[in-house]
Amino acid sequence: MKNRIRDLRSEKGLRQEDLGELIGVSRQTINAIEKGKYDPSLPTAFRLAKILGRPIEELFEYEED
Amino acid sequence: MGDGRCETRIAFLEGCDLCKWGSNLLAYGHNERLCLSIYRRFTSVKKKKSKPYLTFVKFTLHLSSKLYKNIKMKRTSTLDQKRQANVKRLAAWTISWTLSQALVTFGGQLLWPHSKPAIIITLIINVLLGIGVISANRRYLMEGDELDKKVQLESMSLALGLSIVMGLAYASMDHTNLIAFDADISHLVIFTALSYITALFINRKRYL
Repeated sequence: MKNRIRDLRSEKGLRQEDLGELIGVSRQTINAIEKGKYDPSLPTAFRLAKILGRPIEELFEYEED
Repeated sequence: MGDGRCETRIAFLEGCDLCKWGSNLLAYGHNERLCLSIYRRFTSVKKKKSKPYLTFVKFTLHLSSKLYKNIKMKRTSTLDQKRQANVKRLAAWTISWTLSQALVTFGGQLLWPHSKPAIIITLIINVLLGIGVISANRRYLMEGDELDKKVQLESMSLALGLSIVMGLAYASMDHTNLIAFDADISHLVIFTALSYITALFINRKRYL
C-alpha cells in the first residue's frame, strides 16, 4: 500500500519521532509505514489522518496485486 | 605458650589474628585455648553465613521483594517510557524465575536431596515466579508498539512451529535409537530459544 505520509509530515514540520509520539507508536513504526514495509492498523491510520488533517483515502492508496 | 597464655596477646591489643573480634576476652584472661575456641566458633559461624546456597536464597528473596516494588511502578505517559518499564519488569521476573529454577535443580540434587518439603516449597516458588514471567511478558506485548507486536508474533509463531516439528522429530530419533544419547527437554528449550532469537533478529531486520 502506497502512502503520502512522509510528504504530509514534512509539510507540517514534524519529525518521525514527533508524529509517532502524537499517535502513540514508535519512530520505527512511522519509518516502516512511510517506506511501505508495514501497513498500519485501522485506529493508527485514523489517528494519522486526524493529525495530518487529511481524509484517510488521501493518505493511503490501495494497490491490488 | 608454656603457661597456656596465648602468644598473640600483644598482637590482640593491636588486632589479634585469632580473636580480634572479642575484646571482652581480656576480662576472662586471654589464653590460647579460649582464644582458639572462640576463633573456631567465629570461623564456623562465618562459614555458615557465607555458604553459597544461603547467599543464593537471600539474593533470590531480595530480588523477589524488588519485583513487588517494580509491579507498583507508576504508569508512564510516553510509549518509550512504558516500554522501558515493561522491559525492566519482564527482566526482573525472568531473572528471579531463572534463579528459582536453578534452586529447584541444584537444591534438589545438592543442598536438600532428602527434604521433600524443601523441594516442594522451591517448586511452588518456581511455578509462581513462572506465572509472573508469563504475566509480565503478556503485558509487555499488549502494551507494546503495534509493529513490535507484529515482529514478536511472527517470531513466536516461527519458534513455536519449529519447536513442535523439530521436538517431535528429535523424540522419534530417540525412540528409534538414531541418536546415541537420550533426548532431553533442555535441548528443546535451548532450540526454541535459539529459533526465537534468530527469528526476532530476521524480522527486526525486515521491518525496522
